[in-house]
Amino acid sequence: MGADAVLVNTAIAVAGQPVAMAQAFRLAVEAGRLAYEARLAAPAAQAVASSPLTAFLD
Amino acid sequence: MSFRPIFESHPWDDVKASIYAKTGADVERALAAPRRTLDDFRALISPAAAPYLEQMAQLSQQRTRQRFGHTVQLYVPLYLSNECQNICTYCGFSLDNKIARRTLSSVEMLAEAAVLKGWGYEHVLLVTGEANQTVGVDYLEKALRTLRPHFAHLSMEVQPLDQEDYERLIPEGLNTVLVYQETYHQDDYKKHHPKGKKSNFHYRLDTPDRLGRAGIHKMGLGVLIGLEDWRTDCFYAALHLDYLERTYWQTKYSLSFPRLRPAEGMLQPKVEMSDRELVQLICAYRLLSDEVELSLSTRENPTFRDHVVQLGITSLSAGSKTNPGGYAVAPESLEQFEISDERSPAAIAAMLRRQGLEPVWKDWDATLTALAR
Ligand code: SF4
Repeated sequence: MGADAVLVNTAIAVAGQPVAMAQAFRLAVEAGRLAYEARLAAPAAQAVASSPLTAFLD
Repeated sequence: MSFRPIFESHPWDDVKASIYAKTGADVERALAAPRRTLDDFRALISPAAAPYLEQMAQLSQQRTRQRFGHTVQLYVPLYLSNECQNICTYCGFSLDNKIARRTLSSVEMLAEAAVLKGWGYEHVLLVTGEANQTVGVDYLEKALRTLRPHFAHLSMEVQPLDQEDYERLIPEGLNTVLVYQETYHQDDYKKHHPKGKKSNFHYRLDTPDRLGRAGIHKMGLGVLIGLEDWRTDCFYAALHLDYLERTYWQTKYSLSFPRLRPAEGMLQPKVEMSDRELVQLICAYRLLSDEVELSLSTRENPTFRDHVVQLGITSLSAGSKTNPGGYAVAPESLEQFEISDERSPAAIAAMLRRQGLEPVWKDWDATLTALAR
């Protein structure tokens, strides 16, 4: 995704449980960063079998 | 210099015992090796490698894509004659089979060629039996002269010839010669080839050397799977390939692994090879050599072919007829062996594209032959 920062003050401050909401945002940001660093798969025009190459022999 | 002393220093029973003695540790060592030896190849074709098949397939796919890209070459056989003076126990054209014999004239060859051109073919494999009176070197020369203007690459699977004959045919447009030893087991070879010139085991064994000395562009090797223990026989094919690649390094090589199929008057295979074992062999050949082309014919069924094009195979035939005149002139004549994959060349090309592979109809041109010389 590549965002440099997120502005979340109001969203946390006005939440029912600000501490829990802050933690939820933290996890969301970490999840996003982790996915970004793991690099998305290249887009493909067609489905590619991820099952083993020799499964057809079973 | 010839393959014969190398062949003779590898007695059949020793080779067989060494393959069957391989362990899981040998297979793991072979898989981890950056460059594999013939001893690693023994491990990879051994029964001990069976549990490692998926890993072999992954590696084989990687190496094939690295060297050949996402491509599969298409070719088609053109049977010119079913006349044959040999008795081969497994073949529909064998002298002792009472079938109508036919040899195509130049006009008939052109009629057949027109069908193949219409399908898009540029690579054609000319096939004949072994009958010197009718399909000797003069006939082969005439066939090359007739067909050369119409195709980019001509291969031949005919009787083994002398070096001078090859030297005569290469300038006429002969690019590739396939000559399968059938079996490297000498006694069994005698049993399956009791009569005719083909019964000379050593003349056949020396053929790749004669081709190499004649400077052929590409040659194809293999054994007929089903005559003898396939692991041992295929080790000899690998040993032969290894020697040839080092000796005639300017020549390209391909390997085939035809499994014996029903044919008129034929005996049952002595050894049956399962699909799983054939995949093991294909992967083992690829892991031994990055460069060698691996070819699969329409003897194999559609499901099997559709899967193994991802595992190491680099060339496929499609739409094949195995009878002379089968495409246009005499569609009903008796075929050499039954085919299992009857799909059209267009259907095979579409199947390849669906799998993200590029069907290649032409990767050579006559002008390149002139330049290479
Ligand atoms: S395998 Fe070849 S040599 Fe043997 S009978 Fe058939 S066509 Fe003739």
